[in-house]
Amino acid sequence: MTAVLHLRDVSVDLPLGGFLSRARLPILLDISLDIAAGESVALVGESGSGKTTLARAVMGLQPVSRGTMAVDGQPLASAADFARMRRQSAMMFQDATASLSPRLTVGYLITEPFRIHGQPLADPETTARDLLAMVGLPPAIARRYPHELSGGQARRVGVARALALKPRLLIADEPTAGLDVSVQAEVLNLLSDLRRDMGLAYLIITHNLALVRHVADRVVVLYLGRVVEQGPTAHVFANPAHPYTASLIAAEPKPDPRQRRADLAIRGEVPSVLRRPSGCEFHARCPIARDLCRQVAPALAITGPGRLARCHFAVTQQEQGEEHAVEN
Amino acid sequence: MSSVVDGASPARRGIGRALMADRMGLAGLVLVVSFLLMALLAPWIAPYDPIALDVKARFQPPSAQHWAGTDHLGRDLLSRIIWGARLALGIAITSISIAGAIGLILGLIAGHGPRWLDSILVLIFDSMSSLPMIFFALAVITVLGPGTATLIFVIVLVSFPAYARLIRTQTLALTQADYILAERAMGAGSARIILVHLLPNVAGPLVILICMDIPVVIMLEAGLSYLNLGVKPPSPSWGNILSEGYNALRQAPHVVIVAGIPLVLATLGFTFLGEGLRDVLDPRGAGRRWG
Amino acid sequence: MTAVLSVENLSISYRVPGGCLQAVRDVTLAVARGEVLGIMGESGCGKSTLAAAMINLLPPGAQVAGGAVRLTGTDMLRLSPEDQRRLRGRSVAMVFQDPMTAFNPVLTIGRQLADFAGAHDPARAAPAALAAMLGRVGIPDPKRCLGRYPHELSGGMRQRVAIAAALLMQPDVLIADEPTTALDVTMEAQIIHLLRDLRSSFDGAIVIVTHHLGVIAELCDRVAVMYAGEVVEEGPVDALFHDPRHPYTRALLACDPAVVDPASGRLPAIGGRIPDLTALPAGCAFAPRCDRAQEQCGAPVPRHIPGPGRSVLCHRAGS
Repeated sequence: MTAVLHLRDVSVDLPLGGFLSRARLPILLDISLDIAAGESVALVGESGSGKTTLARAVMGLQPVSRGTMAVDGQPLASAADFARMRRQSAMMFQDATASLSPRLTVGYLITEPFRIHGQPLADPETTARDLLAMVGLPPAIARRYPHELSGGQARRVGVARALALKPRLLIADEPTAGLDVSVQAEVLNLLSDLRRDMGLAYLIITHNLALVRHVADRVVVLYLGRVVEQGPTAHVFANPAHPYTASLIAAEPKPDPRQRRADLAIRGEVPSVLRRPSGCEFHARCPIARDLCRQVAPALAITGPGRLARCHFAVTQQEQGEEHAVEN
Repeated sequence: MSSVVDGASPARRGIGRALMADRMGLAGLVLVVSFLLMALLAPWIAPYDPIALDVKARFQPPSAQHWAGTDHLGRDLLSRIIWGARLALGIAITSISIAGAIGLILGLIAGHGPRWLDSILVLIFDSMSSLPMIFFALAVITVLGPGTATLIFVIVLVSFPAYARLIRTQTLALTQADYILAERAMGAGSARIILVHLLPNVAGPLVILICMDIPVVIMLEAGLSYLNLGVKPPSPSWGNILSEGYNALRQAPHVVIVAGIPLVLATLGFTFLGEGLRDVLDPRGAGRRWG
Repeated sequence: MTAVLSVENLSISYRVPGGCLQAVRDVTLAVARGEVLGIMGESGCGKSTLAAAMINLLPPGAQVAGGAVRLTGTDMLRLSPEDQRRLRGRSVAMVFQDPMTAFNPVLTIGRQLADFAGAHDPARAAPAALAAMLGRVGIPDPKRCLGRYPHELSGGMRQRVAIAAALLMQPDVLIADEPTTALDVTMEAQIIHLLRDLRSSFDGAIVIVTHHLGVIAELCDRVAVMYAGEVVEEGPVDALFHDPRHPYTRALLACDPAVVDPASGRLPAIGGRIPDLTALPAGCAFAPRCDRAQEQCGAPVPRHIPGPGRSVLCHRAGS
């Protein structure tokens, strides 16, 4: 079976600027990833990890410097490839309201994919109503303007528009950002229903780990534009192989006052891509860093079935975690 | 910072202020519409022929017969002002519309098109606006000879770069907006993005700027006509009336006053209207709708 | 324990085109020195209006329909504008969600901190004192930070500086409105840690306004849950999280993806929408969304006291 989305060694770098300067700044480095039909993969990392850049690269909004991409086995390289690909995939933006053209009605906006791709649109009103019904919105919403929608409604409109042409792949950038807890649950349930019913493949970009646990089969952790850990969500959360993943999980505030953390799991901030640290790029913030980490950059290595990690001590970490799990 | 009322935000501005702004806009609209009607209906509402001489009745102050008095050739001033509105608005609206259309197209191309084209267009806009306007206008008029067509040509040339730059800046900013990225991600082509998504969003500021510029053009026309470089006498341009009035300022001050009033009112009218439009044209402002 | 800041029967409304929007309704709360109070609720529940009233910075259009906000006994809402300004900042300081908006982009951090501190006591504006404060909020190399501009700092660093600026005024009450919402999870953990550390050294009360249950659980001693402008439940944090009495509190806790077992597949949601705040029902505002609602819920709701320091606004809390 071919993957819906296939990325092999994808790298993105940006010109550093400056007159006649040829220097380029690496933002993403050698990302490889496959997403099968009906599979949901989460891309996790702090701001500056390159996760949004990767989403934009897949949609052709950000030129790729090296590597190959394919959707449904068809390579993505030329403008024509991306034009074809955009009919089969859709993207939801982080700011749902801002991603809707402000002077057009919701009814027009959600039927726009038909107009863009020249698909037959015999009765725009019925189509709009059906799409709105699919995401649980009343037909009257079709006459509203984006600024008249609540955050949750705008998010649903974004989903309706993304699904208008029945895509194979949905890329969602922080699909619950800015939503209240109760509305968040509705949007997440909607996304999992649609995945089940339509066999969609998801690429979800988020820094919300609670979200990842609920919607992702697999998780990919990025740090400074590199994959540092990858694997099935349940296994990675239960037993992270990379200390960065472990720190992220530990940093998440638990909604239980009896589980307050006494100590900080992670200190400092993501270093600037202008000043990448030597050796393992995480060593300055890593609780288990040693001399080796400051000098030698670890490679992405297999640590278990379906699992990869970029750490010199990944296997030890993972084994310790397993022992710990057995003891409990 | 989050809104103080958690999204259930009431109108952002005080209701009193919004009403005041609306009243100004309304006043502007009324003034502009009156001038437009005056211009359109000039042949029917003007009491006299604007160029009919009556030398015996020269420099008459306002009276029941001549509501605004007469000028140095005994022509009825009210009729000349009404016909003058036709000329002034005709020239201003024609030239600014042409300039606006050119500016809109070039600005969109510069803002959304390839980089090299943008550089060339910006160079053109910049060199155009660096020309000293009055001397440039004088030079063109000297070459082409004074007259209405020359006047329109000059106004278009000197005003389109400002519009094009405005549209270009707006377009550049919007090209980075989430909704334009979203459209590109859906596969929308450049034509659709420009026509359906950029145009309605950049047109608002242009309409406002145009409204504010019309009085400037009316003044420019009046000024050039005053210098005998605009509309040729005996055509009843407001500038011509003023220019002729100044020659007899002591003898008959009413000429200058009467010709000055419409100039001031038209300026105020278009400016108020422009400011009112600025509030109305933003769909996010105070929950109002447009389109 | 005496309250340093207390809100008594406070009601605030906004005049809107369709009538009168009741943002805060009959809220009574108090916070003592050394205590951290959490105000929790979803969009439109009135928590930000309440926070604005606490610092006496209500937006134009807001009307105090009744009640008082007492700071060490003085009713702030009834002071002259001049006295209000003097009290604000020195006695109550605020930290916002996006610290960028709190700073002037063209002035250095040092210059702005000096202004904050010097407004009340010039001695505190000395660079050494400012640097010491920046060090206290965990900024590495505080001396260099004083010469920087707001945009040169990361979001987490700006939030630290904002907290330092607030503390420089030596306030009696520090109000933080969604202090971690704009930050990454790692930075959020660090800010939570910092605020918790401050409790021991800061001789005042802290009020945290947020929709994030995790932040409340990590940081607060007491919690007030707001719904449609009212405090529907109040109590010690442990009791409220482990023995919630109001159906809305229960539903909120149950919805949080962090507590739901991923294997269950579906997340519980609260059906329906918050009521129209311009036309509120006479009875319980949550009744239309409540799975335990009965006929009696249409009548005005009594406040139950299920235990020490607790209160619940629900007809069925007693049963």
